[in-house]
Amino acid sequence: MKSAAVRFVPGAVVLALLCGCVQPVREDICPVRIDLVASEDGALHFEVSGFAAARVDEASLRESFRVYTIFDKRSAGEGLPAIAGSYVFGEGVLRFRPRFPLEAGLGYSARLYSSSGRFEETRFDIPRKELERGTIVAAVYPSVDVLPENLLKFYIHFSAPMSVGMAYENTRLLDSNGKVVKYPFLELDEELWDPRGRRLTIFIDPGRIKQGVLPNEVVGPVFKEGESYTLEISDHWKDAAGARLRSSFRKSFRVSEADRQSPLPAAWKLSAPEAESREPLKLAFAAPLDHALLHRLLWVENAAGERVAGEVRVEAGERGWSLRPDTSWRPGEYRLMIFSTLEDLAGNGIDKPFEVDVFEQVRERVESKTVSRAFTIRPRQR
Amino acid sequence: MKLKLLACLALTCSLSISLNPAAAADLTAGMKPAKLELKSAGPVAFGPDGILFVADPLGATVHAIATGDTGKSAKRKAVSLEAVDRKIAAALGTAPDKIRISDLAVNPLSGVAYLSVARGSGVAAPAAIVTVRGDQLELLDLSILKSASFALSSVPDAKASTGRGRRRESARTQAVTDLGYVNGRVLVAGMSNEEFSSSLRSIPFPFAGSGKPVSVEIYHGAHGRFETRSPVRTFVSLNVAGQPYLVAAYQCTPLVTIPLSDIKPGAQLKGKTVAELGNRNRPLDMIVYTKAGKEYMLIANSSRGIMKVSTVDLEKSPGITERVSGGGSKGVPYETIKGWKGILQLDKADDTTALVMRETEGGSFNLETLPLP
Repeated sequence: MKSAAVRFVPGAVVLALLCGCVQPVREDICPVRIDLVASEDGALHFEVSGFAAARVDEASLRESFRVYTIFDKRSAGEGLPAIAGSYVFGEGVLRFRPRFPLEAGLGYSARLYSSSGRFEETRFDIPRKELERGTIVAAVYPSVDVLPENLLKFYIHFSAPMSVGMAYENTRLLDSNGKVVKYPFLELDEELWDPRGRRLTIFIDPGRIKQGVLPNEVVGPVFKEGESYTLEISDHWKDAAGARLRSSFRKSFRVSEADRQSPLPAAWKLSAPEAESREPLKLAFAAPLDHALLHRLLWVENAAGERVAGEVRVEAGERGWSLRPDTSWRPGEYRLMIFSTLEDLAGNGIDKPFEVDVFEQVRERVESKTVSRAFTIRPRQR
Repeated sequence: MKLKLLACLALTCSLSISLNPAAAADLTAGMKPAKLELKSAGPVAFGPDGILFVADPLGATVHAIATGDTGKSAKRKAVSLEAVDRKIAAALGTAPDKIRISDLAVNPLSGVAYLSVARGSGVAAPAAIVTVRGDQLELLDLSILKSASFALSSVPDAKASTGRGRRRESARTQAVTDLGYVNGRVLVAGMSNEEFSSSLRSIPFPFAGSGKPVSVEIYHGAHGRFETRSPVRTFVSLNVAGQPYLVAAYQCTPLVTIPLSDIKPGAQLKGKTVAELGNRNRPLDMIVYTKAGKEYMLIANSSRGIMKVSTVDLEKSPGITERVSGGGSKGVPYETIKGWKGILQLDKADDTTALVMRETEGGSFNLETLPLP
């Protein structure tokens, strides 16, 4: 496929090519063609062809051909470096493959230079892609509408991969009067995305949660108990394709007292199903736990220490968890395994609270990496 | 990011030589041409012999690249380049708003700047390393260079799969907030996108050596009373009272010192708070240098400009344990350097100059070499 391209060729063109070993620069080899061609893998590359000379010096030709990105049509390439890429020469054609795919909506100037610095130019415009505003905020966790004063983080889930580097300008927190809360988030240059770019983690500034740290003492905590707030996500945020979100998103919530206690697995309600069924094992927590960590840091092992495979669900409000096994439960002893870094909404881990008050330690820290709770799957009652 | 080579104590040197006879040899010797492909490019830092360390958070890997740039082949030129973002975008064939510059490091042997760059908008955007020698910009061809890679230790993933047909890809990633080469080890500070972790990894280099990687948890104490995990935002190494230390800035703002000798398996380190860098401010980069026989540290901040601190003051600091009235702190004194405004990246270029990336009023970025204050 030859690309549809804006093409113009300046009049007097001199091409510096050494034909043979010691021949002087030839000026009779025009016209040459510069085309934009799709490779077998779909990537576009530039082809220079139509040399009149029988023998073309490959090294000189490589030095003579450059492609520039056009930002400004009047001063294309001026003061800008050429595009990085690789050259292959064969059968009278020089092929230049850009290191990265050409960008929709941009223009490129392909040039064949002479020894005097003059050049023949062909310009190519890559058609702009029509962008559809289809991406939405699919969910925000915690999903409950009452959050502790020392809440540590939000997870924002999107329906498609998002652009990186736009998080903090498009996420804001409003108080009950609609006034913007200043600097509530830990703004990291390295935005905390999942590997697919569909989930962003936003931490509340820990300097405004931790007791005895300057920001908390001077500016105070982000949230105040009893107040209401709204997390607002702007539709100016672009997805990875460059399209704005289909709509803005708001999550309103009320703030309860700070939670400084570690979750206690012994206090969870555990409902074990009967054997020979695929009914789920169910857990009900005393308070909501971290949505992401519930998917990763809880599992069930049988008496042999083998993990029970199945479908994990985190129940509404992150107050419950269930495991539906792939195969029917067999009667016997099992253990619910909990990785000690499982956290609640305030970052209190099973192993230790978010903050340990060394003067008033409530209980000893858990030193092992996992804690477990035994349960029995009983034979089915006939 | 900065070169973080410590002046080696005589004792440390003799120990390392006796334990590792290869230490004095070319550190690139064990590297192989690997056609390295970066999944992402985060913080970068130089070690000896022109070795560039690149954090690849998406690939959960640290790469060591033998750049071959040992300063012997070309004359040293001070880096100066206007609109570096436009120029990088042009070289990568895209628009300036489609690139992200993650970090910058100067090769101390050649004075060449190396920038880690993402080309595209999304998380999976291809990564590249761009070099600037004087005012000449080039893309580093990783396919022809020797390299070695180290997989960052596995995460507490609780046996990630959850059964037939429903395998759930782990959504956990570990952002790397800083890395540096100190005394034969690569130190990596990071932060998880799930649990509030505060691990600092110390990886022996060369990677294939016999030393074992160590991961420690970093803590913060306040008022001698509250203890919390404290992720590190950026760090630098220096000698305090003749002992090698890390000076680290926590995400929750305190600037702390941590003895390097404390980085041992299973350790939980509590930094000594020597300053608090202020509210609504993020420390971005730190460098250490000597001027007129005195050692200083420069701290680039997001909203409080460039702070200059005497390392003698760090040494003398008893540590902040109590708040003074009015919400201030008795931290080490610092001077704010006037004229160094809008600085986003900072590294030491040589003994007397620093390379900075500065945001202009027009919103583009310039690389400038400035005399150290």
